[in-house]
Amino acid sequence: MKSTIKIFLRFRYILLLITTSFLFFSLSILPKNFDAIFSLSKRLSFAEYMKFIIALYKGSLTDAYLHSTVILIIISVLIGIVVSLITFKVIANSRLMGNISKSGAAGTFVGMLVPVCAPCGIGLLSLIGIGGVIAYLPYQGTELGILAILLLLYSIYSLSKSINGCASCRIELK
Amino acid sequence: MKNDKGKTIKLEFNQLSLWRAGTIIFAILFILSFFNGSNADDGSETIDLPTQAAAPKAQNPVDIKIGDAYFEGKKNAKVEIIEFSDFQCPFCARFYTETLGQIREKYIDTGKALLVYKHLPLPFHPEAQKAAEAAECAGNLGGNEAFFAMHDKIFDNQAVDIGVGALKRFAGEIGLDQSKFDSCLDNGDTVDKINAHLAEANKYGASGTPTFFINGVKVVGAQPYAVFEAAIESALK
Repeated sequence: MKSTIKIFLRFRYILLLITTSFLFFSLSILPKNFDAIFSLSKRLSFAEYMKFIIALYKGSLTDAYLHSTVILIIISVLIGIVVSLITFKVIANSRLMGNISKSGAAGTFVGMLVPVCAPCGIGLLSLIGIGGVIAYLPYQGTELGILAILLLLYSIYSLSKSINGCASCRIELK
Repeated sequence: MKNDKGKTIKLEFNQLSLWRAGTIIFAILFILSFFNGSNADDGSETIDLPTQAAAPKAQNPVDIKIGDAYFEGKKNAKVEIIEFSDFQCPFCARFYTETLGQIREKYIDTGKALLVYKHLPLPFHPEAQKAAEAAECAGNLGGNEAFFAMHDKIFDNQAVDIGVGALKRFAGEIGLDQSKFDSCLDNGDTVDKINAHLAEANKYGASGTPTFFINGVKVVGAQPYAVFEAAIESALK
């Protein structure tokens, strides 16, 4: 785990983590209001428009159950970590192990599906018009969020293991 | 397979290539999904599950008519806010408690905006349909004022009880003719009108509740007041 932690002492990987997490979070909550985002961009001043965009982010707290927003934030951060670790491995010319990338991809995919609020239309499933189906699950999609978190945690564990467990080579952190 | 010279060509795909290709394809599909939309004309899901309506692509403002819906404010106001809502939806209640009061004070009561309420009772909210019918029955008996009095009563009591018994009690509390109201509610006199609103929601891609059209610009969800303020102010310009 020490090597993994050292990776995140590097500014570029922290930046990648933050950027990826923010991007995923944004792509989860903003698309349902793309109409307003594009329409108002032409009509409002820059300051007014920024106030509007910031309010949309604040809306992730008012327009969803608290636990759903927390799960979304956790998934966003975990995806950022996975992307950073995979990027490190690619840059270090390490072999990308199939099993690790599978769980990372699966976790990312499930995380994208997660309708943070099934009736409110957040998440990929709601964008393609079948978010209402998730509402019939016992916990209205929270199960998928938990599943995504577990898949991503496994991916991070596997990636960390492969970074730290190489017995015959040293990973040079530049 | 064989090439022109009859030599055997072997194509190999390793696991990494397949995963990379799959990831790229998924990423493209994901991005495309933001711009893909459909409405009833394309044969998408009907009103049985209103939230099944596919998200429409970013488009010019839509022109939704008030029709026979009940409204609050001056009919010739410059800004028209059409709300598709569900009386049992907790986020619609959140909009009511946290945002509507400010919109009423700053825009509706001053004549700048008009609020039109249209029904989108979701199938997994068992009391939403009857609550919608109750509001319509109230409107039939007492017009816009009675409709919104019932609207406010229902949202005020959403967390307590909005069953049929409670709805009938609300009617008495706001001064409606009890027997006429009860008859309207029990006979389902307003079901057709609510179904028409559901069809409209499906047509215009209202994919969840609450969904608003502010001079045709769609705003989805129980957003903070600042979001509505920005949309209304842009429409007032």
